[in-house]
Amino acid sequence: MDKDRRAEKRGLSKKSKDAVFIYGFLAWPILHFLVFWVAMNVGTVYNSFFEISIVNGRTFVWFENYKEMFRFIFGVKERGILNWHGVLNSLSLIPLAVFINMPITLFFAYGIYKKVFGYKVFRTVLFLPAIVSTVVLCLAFRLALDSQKGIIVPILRLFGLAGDGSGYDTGVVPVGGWLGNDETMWGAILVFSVWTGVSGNIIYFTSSMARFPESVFESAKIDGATELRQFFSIALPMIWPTVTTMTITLVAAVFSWFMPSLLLTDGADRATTIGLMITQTVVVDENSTVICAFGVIVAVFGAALILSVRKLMEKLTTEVEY
Amino acid sequence: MRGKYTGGDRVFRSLLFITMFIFGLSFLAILLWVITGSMRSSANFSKNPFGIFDITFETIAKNYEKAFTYKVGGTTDMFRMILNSAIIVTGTTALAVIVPAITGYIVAKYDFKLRKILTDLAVITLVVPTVGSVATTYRFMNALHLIDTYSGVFLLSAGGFGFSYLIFRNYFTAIPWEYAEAAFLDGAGNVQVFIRIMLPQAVPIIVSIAIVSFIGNWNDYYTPYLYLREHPTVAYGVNAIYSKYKTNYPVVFAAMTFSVGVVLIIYLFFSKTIMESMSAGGLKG
Repeated sequence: MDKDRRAEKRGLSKKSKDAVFIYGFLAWPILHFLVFWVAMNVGTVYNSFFEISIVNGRTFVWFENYKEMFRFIFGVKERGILNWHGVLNSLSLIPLAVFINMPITLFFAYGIYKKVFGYKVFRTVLFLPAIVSTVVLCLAFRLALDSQKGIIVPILRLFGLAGDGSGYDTGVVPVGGWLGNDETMWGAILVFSVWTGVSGNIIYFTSSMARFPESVFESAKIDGATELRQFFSIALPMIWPTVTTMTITLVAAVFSWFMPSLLLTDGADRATTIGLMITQTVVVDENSTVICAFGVIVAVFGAALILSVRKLMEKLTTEVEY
Repeated sequence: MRGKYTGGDRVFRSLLFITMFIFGLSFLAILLWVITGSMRSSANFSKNPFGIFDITFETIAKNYEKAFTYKVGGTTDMFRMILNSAIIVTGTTALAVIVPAITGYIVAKYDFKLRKILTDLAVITLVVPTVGSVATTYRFMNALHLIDTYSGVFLLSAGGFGFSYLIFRNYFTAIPWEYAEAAFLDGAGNVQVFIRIMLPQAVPIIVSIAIVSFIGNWNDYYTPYLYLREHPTVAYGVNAIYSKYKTNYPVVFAAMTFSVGVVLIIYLFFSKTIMESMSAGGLKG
């Protein structure tokens, strides 16, 4: 338009006009990336070698923050927010996501693709947790599990699995309720994350499956392959690139995952996660550089882990073009 | 129908159906419990958490009135939180569409020096968990006096290389370039081709990304929790109302029902568009 006409007057070639367009429009996103991704991460590494206080300002402390962080994590030194439960909890979410949530999601998507009875209803209903906010899901789960006014305990009571709610005769319900008991709270959170983890990604799988050529399945059927067999030898290989991307996203999300811990247990020590420890520290003390050291370790370790997962998954199968 | 499937397939299908049914039913049951609970009196609810026949107009009005008039932090009632949410959601949703659409389009359709690097950028951001940089980001935002401001949240969300960039890039890659070339021959400029020829073909994916990010931003708890404490949004407010009315479930349910209702309506309107357009681009990293 105007810009191009001006460019023409100046005798710019199509190539230079392209360059003006490309870099003109990419300037902002690139700048944003450089500031909020590159600079913030470099800044985190930099800060991790300093101590920052309002009184003394910045002091270079070598690896002191790293040592301190490991002391907290391995329980050598007591600290409310940073503890080894959080690291272990976060890591335990990885096998859960990869070996439970992902397969269930895949099978559900396959069921919808294969038009299992009621698939139209399932397609909408199973997507519900993806659109309902985590706050609401957490509160609903928390209140449903409540021993006094929830609905789970009365149902268990019907089967004689829970006491009458008075005293300590609580049956399968632990003292304080599942979310209030140190021993069971993380387990309850895992149940929550399976219950809600199936949902959101189903859309990517069903949509990838929608593009499958019918003919492949038809001929497999004629050859007598069962639908379960078709899933493993046809559907899964064809959908593998999406599975790989999804798995990487899920594993990466584990490191910042914290909402259910915060909202279901108010951030109890035994139910904390890496993401929650970092966020809560920032809320309490934005000048904490121990948390920067922790962040650096998480980034390095996490990236290595995620890259290995990616490599492994790419090796597992060769991509099928269709 | 019976003869259509072999024995093994019938077992497989039944198992799939049963599992999907259990999950689906649990979602609907809890949702129903929350919605009906929001209409009952606290006293009745305490006596029997399952009842639905004691709903009256007065009990509904009472719960929703309490939920809507409670002031979070002593200053912000639900109406103000709706306004806060509306401002935040409008801005962040617009940014989540515009910026990634531009970057996705340019990387998909133009050949330039930085292209390879930018193609990999989304993968790098996926692979490195940068949750630890939040302390640095918070300090930076604080230094710019952008904590507790709308513009701070907009600035944070105005990136162009996130997840929707991947989806836009794949979508634009799949759109043929012939029309654009014809337009270039007719003397159209780059901006013109983008806005008049390519964008209209991407309307379905734009709508989908807009809806998905609308839902995500409406539901977002993290951003207001960290960067917007003085301007609570509805998602933040729901939890605040829970903290206040811990034992009065119906009031908490009223707030939850409202927060869910908004996205549910949007979802039911647009679910077909979302489902359809997602299938076009796919998700290959």
